[in-house]
Amino acid sequence: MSNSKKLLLWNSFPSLCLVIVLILLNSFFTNNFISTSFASSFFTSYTPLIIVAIAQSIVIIGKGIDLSVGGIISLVNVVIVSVVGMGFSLPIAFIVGILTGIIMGALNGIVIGYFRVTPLLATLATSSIAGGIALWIMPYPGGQVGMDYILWYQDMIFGILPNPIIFIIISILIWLVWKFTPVGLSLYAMGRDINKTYASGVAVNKIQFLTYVSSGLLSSIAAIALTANTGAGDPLIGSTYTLYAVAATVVGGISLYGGIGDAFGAIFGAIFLGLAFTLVFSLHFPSFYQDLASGVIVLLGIIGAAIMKLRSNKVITS
Amino acid sequence: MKIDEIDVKDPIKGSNKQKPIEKTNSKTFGKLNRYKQYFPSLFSIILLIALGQILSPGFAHIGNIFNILTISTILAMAAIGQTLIILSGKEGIDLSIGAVMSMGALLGAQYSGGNNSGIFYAVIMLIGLGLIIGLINGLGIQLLDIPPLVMTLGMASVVNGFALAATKGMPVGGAPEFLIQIGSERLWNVRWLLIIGILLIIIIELVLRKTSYGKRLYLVGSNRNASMLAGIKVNKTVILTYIIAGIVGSLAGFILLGYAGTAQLEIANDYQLLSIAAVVIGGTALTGGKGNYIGSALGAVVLTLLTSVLTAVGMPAGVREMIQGIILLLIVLIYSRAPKLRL
Amino acid sequence: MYLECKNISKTYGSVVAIEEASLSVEKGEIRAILGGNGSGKSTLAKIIGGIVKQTTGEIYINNEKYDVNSPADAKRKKVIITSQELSLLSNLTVEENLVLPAIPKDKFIFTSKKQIREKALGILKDIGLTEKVNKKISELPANEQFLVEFAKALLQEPEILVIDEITSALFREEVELLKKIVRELSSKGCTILFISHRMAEIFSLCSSVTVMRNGRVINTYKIEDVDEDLLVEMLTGEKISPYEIKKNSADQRKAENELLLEVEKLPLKRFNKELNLQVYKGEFIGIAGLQGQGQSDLVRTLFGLDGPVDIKIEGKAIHINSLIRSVQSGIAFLSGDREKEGTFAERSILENLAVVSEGTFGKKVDKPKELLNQYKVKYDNLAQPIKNLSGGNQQKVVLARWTGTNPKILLADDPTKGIDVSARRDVHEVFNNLVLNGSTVILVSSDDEELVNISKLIPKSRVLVLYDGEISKTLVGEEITVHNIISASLPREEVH
Repeated sequence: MSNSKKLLLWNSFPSLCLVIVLILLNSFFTNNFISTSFASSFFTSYTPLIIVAIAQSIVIIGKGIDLSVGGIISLVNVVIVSVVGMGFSLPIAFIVGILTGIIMGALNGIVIGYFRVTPLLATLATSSIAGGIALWIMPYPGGQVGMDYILWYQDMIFGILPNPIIFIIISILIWLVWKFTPVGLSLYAMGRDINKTYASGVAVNKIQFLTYVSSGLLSSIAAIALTANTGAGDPLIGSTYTLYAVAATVVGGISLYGGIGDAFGAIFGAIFLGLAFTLVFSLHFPSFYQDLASGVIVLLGIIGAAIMKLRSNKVITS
Repeated sequence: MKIDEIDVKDPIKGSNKQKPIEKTNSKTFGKLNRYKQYFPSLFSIILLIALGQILSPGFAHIGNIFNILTISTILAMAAIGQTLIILSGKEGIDLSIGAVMSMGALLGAQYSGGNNSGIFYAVIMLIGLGLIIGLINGLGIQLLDIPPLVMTLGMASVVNGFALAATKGMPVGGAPEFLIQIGSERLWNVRWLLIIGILLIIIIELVLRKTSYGKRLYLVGSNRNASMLAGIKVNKTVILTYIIAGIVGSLAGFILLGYAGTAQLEIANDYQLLSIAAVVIGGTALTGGKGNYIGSALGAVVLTLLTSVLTAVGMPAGVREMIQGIILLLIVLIYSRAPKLRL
Repeated sequence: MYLECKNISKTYGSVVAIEEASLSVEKGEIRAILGGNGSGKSTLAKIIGGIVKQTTGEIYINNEKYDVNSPADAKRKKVIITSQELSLLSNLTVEENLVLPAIPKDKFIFTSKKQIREKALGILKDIGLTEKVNKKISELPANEQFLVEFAKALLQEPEILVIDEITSALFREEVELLKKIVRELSSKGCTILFISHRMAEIFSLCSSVTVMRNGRVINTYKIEDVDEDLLVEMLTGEKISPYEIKKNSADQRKAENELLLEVEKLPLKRFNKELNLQVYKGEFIGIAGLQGQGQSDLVRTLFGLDGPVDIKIEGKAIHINSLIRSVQSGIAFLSGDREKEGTFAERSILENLAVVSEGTFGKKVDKPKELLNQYKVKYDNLAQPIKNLSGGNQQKVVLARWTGTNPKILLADDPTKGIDVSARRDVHEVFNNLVLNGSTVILVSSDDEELVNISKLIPKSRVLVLYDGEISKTLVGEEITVHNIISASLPREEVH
């Protein structure tokens, strides 16, 4: 198969196209679009979303869903700020935060992978648990992380690459570990048909468990990035991330029925959402219309992805 | 609707396996068996009342109990749409009910202007909005094959944004006097709100059991394939379900406005998770086709009791939320497991 | 003995799939397991392969107890089974599917694409499919998919290899190739269980054969001690009588009857073939043949489950483009997969009964209790969940839901599988009543005896035997015997 045909058939190609379209639109309507300062502000805002989109894509490829990512982000954010508030250094706070994310992910993984509870309900419940703990630790937004960290986050490497990208790269590395190790192949098989994969002698429970642990881990990394952006702790900060992560994944060509797509589609989907929100802002919609516009964009993205899937199914069966 | 859900491609399955046969129970146990689904709820209610009384004397006072029952009506209303949607099967779920209720409260205040004379107009508008929201949900789910989880999650975002836009960020109006009176005035010492709640239970149960829609709903939820093979109009039934949920959710938000007195953005957020929990506690399976509304209403009572106990004990909001999550987790560990991999 | 199965039984609820099956095989032996539909041979294979757990009984390998809890366990003990339903994932390539049970790693933790390619090419060379190494499985035709399934098993270096009905999908040369590989494995000490119904292959490949019928092991023989006729006799339990060719009285019937259903070029997509069908009022048509030869496809496509079809009912052309259309045109469908397509398990008997009347046509069921009695359904009360009834009674209720709607044509896809004998008789009575009322019943059945019994009950009977998507023989009247059906079902290489 020629390389150009491979590109066209790549699951993530449509979302890449969407990104390109949005880049073009933004270049007209957004001031200062092609500039390092825009890139910096874009990535400081949207890096957490990109990271949770990667998290969600791993879970969804395995035919699961993780509705607790938003809750975990809130929890880890609050934990980090609290640990700093107790006098510990930032790296220690990060480690505690990451452990928190992994533990929540493991909880999901055990309940879903080994006790075989429906993912939707299980993660809905753990979302509440995580959010509740966050609210308990920090009933009101507050706390502070060091100014150095906040400033570093807004800075750039070599003057051109925004620092937040480091977090994205770490997250992509985690995805690549999946993709290039045996669990990756098993993940795709399991997402397509868990029974046949089981019959092929694969330990599917373990793989499901690992997807949720990865999701928790990545959510904690997203929280680390988010904390630098807000500079403080907020127990409700993560609430919108769940929807956007799912939407980014769906727009990115990953099917909720599992076994298809890859994390890069979700990354493009997240970037698409970020660029779309930016466009809405630049078009100077009155502020109280912006949420509606954002919501409509997300919905249109979901509908568009569904229509494309129906079309491609028809092509396959004809 | 896809016909090819049914497997023409692989008839080499030869399934002659059968589920184990349950012995038909004797007459007396049979009667009790029917109420089996309510045992967890009833047991929890008794347990929670006792716990509340121990931790906070006076909790079990009849006035307090009636108070709690009244409050639970609103959650029970949120659970109406959720119950119907979950009954419709095929992973039906409504993640937009919180947003729709919030919208109902906010726009109800705005369209009525806080006056009794504006109620009629507000109700018409809310019904219309609920219908449109439900219709969009239903069409996306049935015709575009968008998973209900994704579709309703997306709609929630749109509805929240719409509520914000329509009120321009500044909720105006307020609760019309009439609505407030529903929450405060009584008939024979029972508040109107509670009476409405009980009436709704009767009405919804009648719809489920006696109307052709209700009968079709159970069939469609119990076995989509068999329903299609029997020639039942599955699409219409499911889309109608989401429309009903939209309308009822919208109006429930209006009632919430009356109870709360005023409305702010996302006021009904909590009802999202709680409505699902109420349905699960009530014994309706997430796979669809089995369950009823009475169970969900009881589930709503359990959850409201739980919140009350935690509040009475002085638990902070975060702990309450965490405990709700833990309890939901325990419930699904018992009731919502997927089939085993090995036969 | 190397592999020993002692008194293996497997029941699913009340259905007995295998009863006290015992067999022993020597190391390196190539043993055929022969049986018709419902004989239990596939279930036995799955038990040995770790996919299903036996209800009672033990298995010993090399005198050690063999107790596995998953296919992964079985794999560790070097017992590998190929799956009749294919354990291949459609979204993976051939090489990915081949290595899935044991994905090779490089020095560290990463998947070694190089090793995957090497291993895949190595085994694909043996079966002649090297050029397909990186194609998606879904792009391969059925015969190649089965070869890949076989190669996947080989790659795991089995000591016991269970081959479950692979050869039906393969072309002649591929079958020869498979036989060559199997012989090589056997000479290296691998024990082979060859589950098949193809006599020619059994006789040319296997050294012994175990015959199963109705869940029991009938006997085991050395291959040189038996011949085809003897085996067929054991399969059917009937003595062979010379193959009789009777004059077809089909033409006779055409004159005295009205054409009810006419289909031209009914597409059987899986086989890339088209069928023509003419059905008369008051007929019973049985569709027979080995599993997966197109019987199911025929009735399901006719009902409209595989895309739009054009048919003529009573001379009127109808374009079926939805199931609702089918039902409203007077076609009823009874599925063999009761759980997935028939019963609303949690709902009451009355609800299950009322599905079509009320759900589709909006009419209340007329006298439900009498209806159930007419069908001889044993129940306590109308409100109990249907899952409390026995399988046979459940299926009768599902069948009864069509009665009040007077269907012109009843399409039934192996609905009596796994149902007890007396319930079956009741169902046959219902068919008879339908037929007497001028309707037609088209019944797919994997039980040849059943078709014979019904043909004795209903004079206007025809049995179409399908093979590979075509009607290989039409049997009428006295021609309808179990022996004739089986003979027409099996592709026999020898010429009589």
